[in-house]
Amino acid sequence: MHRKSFISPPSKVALFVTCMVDMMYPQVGIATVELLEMQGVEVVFPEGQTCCGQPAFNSGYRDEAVQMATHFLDVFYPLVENGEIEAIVVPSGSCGTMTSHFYTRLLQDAGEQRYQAQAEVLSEITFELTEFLVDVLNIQDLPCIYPGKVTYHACCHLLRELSVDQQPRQLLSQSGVEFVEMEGSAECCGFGGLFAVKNEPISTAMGKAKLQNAAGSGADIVTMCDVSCMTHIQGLMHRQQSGQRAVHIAELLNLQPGASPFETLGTHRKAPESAQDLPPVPSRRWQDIKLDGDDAR
Amino acid sequence: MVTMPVDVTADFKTRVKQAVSDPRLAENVARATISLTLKRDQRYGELQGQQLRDETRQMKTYVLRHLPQLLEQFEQNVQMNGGQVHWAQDAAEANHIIGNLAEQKNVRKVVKSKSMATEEIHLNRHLEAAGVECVETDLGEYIIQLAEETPSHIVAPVLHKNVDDISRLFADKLDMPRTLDPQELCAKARSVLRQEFLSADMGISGCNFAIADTGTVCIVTNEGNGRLVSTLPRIYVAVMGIEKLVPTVQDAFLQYQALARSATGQKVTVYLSMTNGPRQPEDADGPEEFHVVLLDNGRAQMLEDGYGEALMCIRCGACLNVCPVYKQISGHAYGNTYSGPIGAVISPLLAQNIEEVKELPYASTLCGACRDACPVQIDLPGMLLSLRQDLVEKKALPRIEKMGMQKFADVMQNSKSYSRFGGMAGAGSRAFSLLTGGSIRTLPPPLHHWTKSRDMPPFARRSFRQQLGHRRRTGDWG
Amino acid sequence: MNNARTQILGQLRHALSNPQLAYPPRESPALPLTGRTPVTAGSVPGDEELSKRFRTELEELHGTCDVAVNSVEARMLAVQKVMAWAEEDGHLPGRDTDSTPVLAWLKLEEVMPGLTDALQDRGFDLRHPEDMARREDRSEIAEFRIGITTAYAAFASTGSLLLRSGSGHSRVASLLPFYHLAVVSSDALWLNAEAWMAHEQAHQTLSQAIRGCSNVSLVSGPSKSADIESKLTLGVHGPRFLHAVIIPS
Repeated sequence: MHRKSFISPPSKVALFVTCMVDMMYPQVGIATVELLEMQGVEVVFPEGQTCCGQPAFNSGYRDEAVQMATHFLDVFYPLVENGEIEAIVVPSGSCGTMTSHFYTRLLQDAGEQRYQAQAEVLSEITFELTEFLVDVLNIQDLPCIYPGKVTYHACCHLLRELSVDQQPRQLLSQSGVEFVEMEGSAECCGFGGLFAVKNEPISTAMGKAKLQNAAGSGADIVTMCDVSCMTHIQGLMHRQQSGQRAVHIAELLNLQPGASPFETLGTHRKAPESAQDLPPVPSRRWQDIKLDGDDAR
Repeated sequence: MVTMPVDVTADFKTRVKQAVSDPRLAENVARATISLTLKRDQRYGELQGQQLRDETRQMKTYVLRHLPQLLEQFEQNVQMNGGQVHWAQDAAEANHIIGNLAEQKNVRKVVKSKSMATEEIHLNRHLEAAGVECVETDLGEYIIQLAEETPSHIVAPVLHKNVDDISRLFADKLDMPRTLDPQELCAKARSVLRQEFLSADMGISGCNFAIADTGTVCIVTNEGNGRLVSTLPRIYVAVMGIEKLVPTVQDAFLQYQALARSATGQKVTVYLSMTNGPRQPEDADGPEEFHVVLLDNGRAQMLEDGYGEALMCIRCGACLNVCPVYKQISGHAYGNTYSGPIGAVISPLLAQNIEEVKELPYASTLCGACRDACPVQIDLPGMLLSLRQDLVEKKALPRIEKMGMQKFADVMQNSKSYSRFGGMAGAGSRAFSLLTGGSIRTLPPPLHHWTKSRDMPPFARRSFRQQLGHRRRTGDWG
Repeated sequence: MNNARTQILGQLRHALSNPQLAYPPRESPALPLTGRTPVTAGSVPGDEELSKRFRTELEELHGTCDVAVNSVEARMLAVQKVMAWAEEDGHLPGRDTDSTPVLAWLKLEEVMPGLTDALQDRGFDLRHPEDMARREDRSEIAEFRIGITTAYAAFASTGSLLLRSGSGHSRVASLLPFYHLAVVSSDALWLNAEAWMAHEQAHQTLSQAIRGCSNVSLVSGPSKSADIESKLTLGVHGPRFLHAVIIPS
């Protein structure tokens, strides 16, 4: 998908905060607003916004998804048409994919030509937060301070639908945090929307594999660009009383000296010292696997 | 006796539960899939991988668009080469054709080279019921047959077992002293199976691809059993899906390398065996008869229903190896001949009874790793989404789910009802969180599935938009 | 089963005639397709380079290869290899047996004149599958430990041998024995399959090269499997050892 290139950096953007951030993680929305304002970008919040409809779309409920998509377009499209905003910024790769990629397909299949045309216009100017910061605002680093190690989990839609991967990694490695790689960082964490509930045993097994890799990285924070995967990963970590935390990248990048990113899950009893307390799960780190008969078969 | 960790006859939920609770299975599957993926990456890295993928896709697209003509051309050429072509609309017809042939020609023993198409139609079961002995000769398939199991992977059928399992099996079934040396186990299989090859009346293989221009059936193996099956017995039968054609010899080599590199990370496999017809008068060996069974079994319907892209699959198994779901549950949990992402797509399309397979399109997070690994770039997540829509339209899912979705959509179409919902859910979640002092550890159905393994933070006391409103009025977030 | 044929082709044609069909697109690519990535890239080097490349690639596939400087040396190397194998296998004529049978192509002499005599002088009995074509001979053929063939073509960049069945070119000689020796003329050596196909295509002989016989096999290294724990095992069904001797033109 071609992204609009701006002659001069946009000065006014609309924030699509996503329903989960709005209701569950307002601190992520606040961090997003502050990060953008710090760069001199004015942030508009269209009050009519709700959910992008991805839960319905992903489960095959197309009619319901169309209703939510058209509502989204009714809220956002006029702002673009009137020239009130130049771009839409989303602190989520997944919801960003829904509105910028899946809407066109959904509305085309549903025969909603007018809305499909609107969705195509919006898809060109919709950006995930780190993509906007790096690709559009051309920011190399941010003055955040965190005195620990951070690793990055690449959320699937962001990585494979939006092809955004270098942008968050660059921001992390160029900012005031110690960035370490994790094995299998591009492997799905097992959230998958309703999949996490419908296929709980698989989802949990995938999540535990992710935790195992995260523990192996030696980081005390796993950061990512979606609160949905974060809820899953952090939920597992919290249940297992892991020393690690899952934190949205906006919060991390917006950290001021002395602040703590550990507000996310209310009371967290255990100090982040080690990941020793993980229950045993089968080894699936790449470096543990022996490769006998390398060229066999 | 080694038992199968997953009971393929159980329902989907049970199969999954069995699979994820066996740590040894996970270890075996991880070892194989990671090794295969590493080798594949290396082989694609050597060349213009994307170019190869584009060319393969282009070629397979051509094949689909011209499939009827190519099938006719292929049929004509096989016949000119002295072979016979049979058409089968479904599994029953294909089994009937081969069963009849075996009966007419007085066939008592069949040796088989690895074939997913014959797994799909359960040919062995059919022939054995008619008193014909079937011997699988691919090492992995042979082990599977000894263990009375089914393949758990398209390319590496026995990847769910480790050497200890296999050693026990050989000790039990072949009276062999226990050994953990794969080479010794392999030598034992060689000597046992050599006798089977020599005494078999009929060889049956699948077909990796077939050349329309020359009437050639190609099978790709590393062990050499494909060559033996198509050389030693007096009758050779190849069973192929109607989508397996390529137009020309050059296209065959294109698909050959896409397959070798994707399936096992090889530049070429050890053997590529290309059969044109039965032995010629001047030949010293080769089968006296050559038969091709063209199998539809739901493929034309797939094309008609808009799932034609899935017919471009070359059965390399790359999507299985990268699939995080497959890595956790392995092949048997899918409960069908084809597993992994491609299995989740085509099993429902090939199935007679949708009730038995309706979980499969949902057994994916739609992460897209499969599409990125596919040498033909098949949009597997896109097709899984379409299948989910079909299931919803066919009303194959619980009514309560549909009602829930409708309610959800209603709420989300209006920011006032949205805020009301947020307020109620927030109050509810905070009540639950009070019980456990912070985060939520138990939720009522259906969300209890979430809290089986995961905690959940309560909704925020003040939503983002409330805090933003506060900031607008007072200048701070409050 | 004519009905099945009509039904299947009819349904396919019906599906493809639908202008709204999701896939394939109506405007599908035309033949010949624009390009095909060669199995392995590289420029076409001289004879010597090709032979070395072939050897390197075959060795990587657990095969072995001698590149001879002339036809006399080639014959000597071939005989030495057969003797070494017979010795290792406990079938050395004069020591272990009176005469050791070897399965060979009838037309071996066309590529390596004198090889038959040289081996017979050392106590090997060269037998041809053509002389043992009855089904009863099968178990005897299966007992042969060594097979000798030539190759119709060989591809350096993948260490592959192209074997065409036909008069004097039995299929079992490269398949049933534990040891397979291939004597390959450097005239038959190509950089890769694509180079060979391009040559045949230019002479409009490619289709005939493939379909002009009942079977064509491409062989790249000894038989192997990784079905057991992804560990390499050799000699699963086909030969455990594959040795090529390249004869300069």
